[in-house]
Amino acid sequence: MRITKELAFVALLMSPLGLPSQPSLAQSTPNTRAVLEVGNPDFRAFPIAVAKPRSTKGPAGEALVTVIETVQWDLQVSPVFKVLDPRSFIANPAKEGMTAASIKFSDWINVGADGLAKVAASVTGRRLKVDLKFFDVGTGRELMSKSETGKLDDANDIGHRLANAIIYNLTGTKGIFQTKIAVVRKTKRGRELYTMNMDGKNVRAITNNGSINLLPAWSKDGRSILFTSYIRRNPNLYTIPSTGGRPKLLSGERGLNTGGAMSPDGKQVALTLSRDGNSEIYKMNTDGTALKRLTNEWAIDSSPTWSPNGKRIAFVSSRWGDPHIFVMNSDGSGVKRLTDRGTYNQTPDWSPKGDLIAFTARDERNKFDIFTVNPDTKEIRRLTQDEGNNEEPSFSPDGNHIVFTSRREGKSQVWIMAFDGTNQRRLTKSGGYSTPSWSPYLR
Amino acid sequence: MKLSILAIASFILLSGCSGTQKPELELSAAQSAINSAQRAEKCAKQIFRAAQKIMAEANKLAEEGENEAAREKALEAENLAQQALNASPPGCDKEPEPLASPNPSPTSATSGTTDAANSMDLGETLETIYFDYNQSHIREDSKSVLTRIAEIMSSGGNENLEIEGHCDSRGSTEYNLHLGERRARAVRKYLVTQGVSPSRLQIISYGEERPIDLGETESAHQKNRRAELKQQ
Repeated sequence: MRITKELAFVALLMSPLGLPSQPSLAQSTPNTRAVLEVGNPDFRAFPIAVAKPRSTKGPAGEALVTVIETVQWDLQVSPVFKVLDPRSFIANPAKEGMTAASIKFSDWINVGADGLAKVAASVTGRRLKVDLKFFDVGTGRELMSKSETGKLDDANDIGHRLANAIIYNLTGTKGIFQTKIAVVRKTKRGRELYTMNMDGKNVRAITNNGSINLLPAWSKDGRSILFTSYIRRNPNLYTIPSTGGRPKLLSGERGLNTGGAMSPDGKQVALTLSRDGNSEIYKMNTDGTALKRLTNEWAIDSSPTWSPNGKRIAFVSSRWGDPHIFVMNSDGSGVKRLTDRGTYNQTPDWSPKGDLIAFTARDERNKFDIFTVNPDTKEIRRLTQDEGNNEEPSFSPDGNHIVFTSRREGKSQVWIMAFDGTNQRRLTKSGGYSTPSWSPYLR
Repeated sequence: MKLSILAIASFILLSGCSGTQKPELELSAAQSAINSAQRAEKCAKQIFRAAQKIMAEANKLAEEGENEAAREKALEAENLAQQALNASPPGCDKEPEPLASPNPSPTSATSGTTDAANSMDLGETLETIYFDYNQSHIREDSKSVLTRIAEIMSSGGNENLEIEGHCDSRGSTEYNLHLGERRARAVRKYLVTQGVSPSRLQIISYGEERPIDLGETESAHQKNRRAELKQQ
């Protein structure tokens, strides 16, 4: 059974629940959907229960556990939902089925759930099929039904697809749960590129050349990753398919070729070169032609990041002594300093929403932390504090989340948080990571 | 580097009260340092020859009664011989083992446990120059070292140097790559002002990616903020 969105809305409109001051499913109609947008003053996280698996035995049970954990994790990351602790649940998973008729909704009302997700899995050979149903607890109506299939090893990916479906059905916005993170990791021989799902699962080596591979940045279509590598001794800029493969030279100027950042229209690359005897920002076409120099200062100018409309570029410059964040028009004109606090501001990343630039700053206690600056008002906001060194932020494609590295548990690991610094979560289980880069929407 | 500073410093300290006696102790210490660095004749040719040359000058000055200058030269020769030896791991002067060798000999004795032990290493590090935090200017204590390198390069041989710029672990990957390159460039510029042809000096930056010391202490940071001068 597959309920269309229109039907779901009818169900929502008919829902007797949903007091004006308490957003519920009944309010996620086209008219009131804004309440489920982060930043809306009336916003309140929507309490949701993901029911426990009926069985955790056998291949289907194990896959089901992975799917449920993934859906729970994703919905917790989403600012829209508050995922209830399964330990508080009173419903008996063995007695409940996937249909509204088999569910005792009062058990879910009593634990504070407004929404209920139920997931079931079946395995045929090596194929996994997962069914999801989503209910409005107050009315007992089924709002959504979705089935996903894949290989038995794909349980994590399937969980992300289902979480995206829930987000899309309830908010009308695209979920970020099928995105990936590219990152550098120290190895015995050097530095290699890896990708992982946005929950840290499914880690894959993208390079394995024993050299030093640095500073990954995604192409706009998500199909390739720009990076700097010493594979031919000189630190050149390359692209490599985001699933791995052969690196292709993008810029092999003498000296450093770093910080490749693709323009939002995918036609140009901004980068930092030292070929003229000093570190300056340039841009060129993605095929390496039409190289144009944008800065001309004795200092270090580096780390360009494009505004989402492609009209401006933020960057790091030490032209006033210490490194600070500056912004210029994408033709190099109109340079303005954005940060006037701190002594060591680096690694700017412009939010895809356009309203914020995240960066790393060293504070007066010589700790590195992540801040945002509004490129128009220059308002600065601190996102991390008193948790070791936190560095190298990169925005998710919806601009609601930031991936970064943190040494709060000793070694440098990959973490994510909301754009306002809340909801910080560790993705990795070991150290040696640097310069994470969040992909655009994939597939 | 440390050795050479110590040697120069101790010379300055001692010279005030050393009188005009013939520096026999220094001369014999230098000669024995050269003798025990014989394998460096193959492995760190340039610096070993410089030690021999300066030793000869020291002996000549001693014969002429220029005891003060002789002592200085002897100390310098001893220091260079020591550096040449440091740059020559045991067995480096032997022919390479045949490929079928069942037990490949361990690599460089000096850097085997750090990130710097990387297959990309070119030659041995002749000299290391250190920098202040977030700075790329040549410190006063490094100028005499670089001047001596320039003298060695000008006085014979045609080897080229590669200058590697490095940073400590603080700050971002990308900024440190550029800061490291500024350090390497500053060393090259200084050597050029001392008469070395720029065409003999290549630069490359490794930023914070090849630390000598993996610690996070100030002393570790200082060891990592460096430019390494390597024979190409």
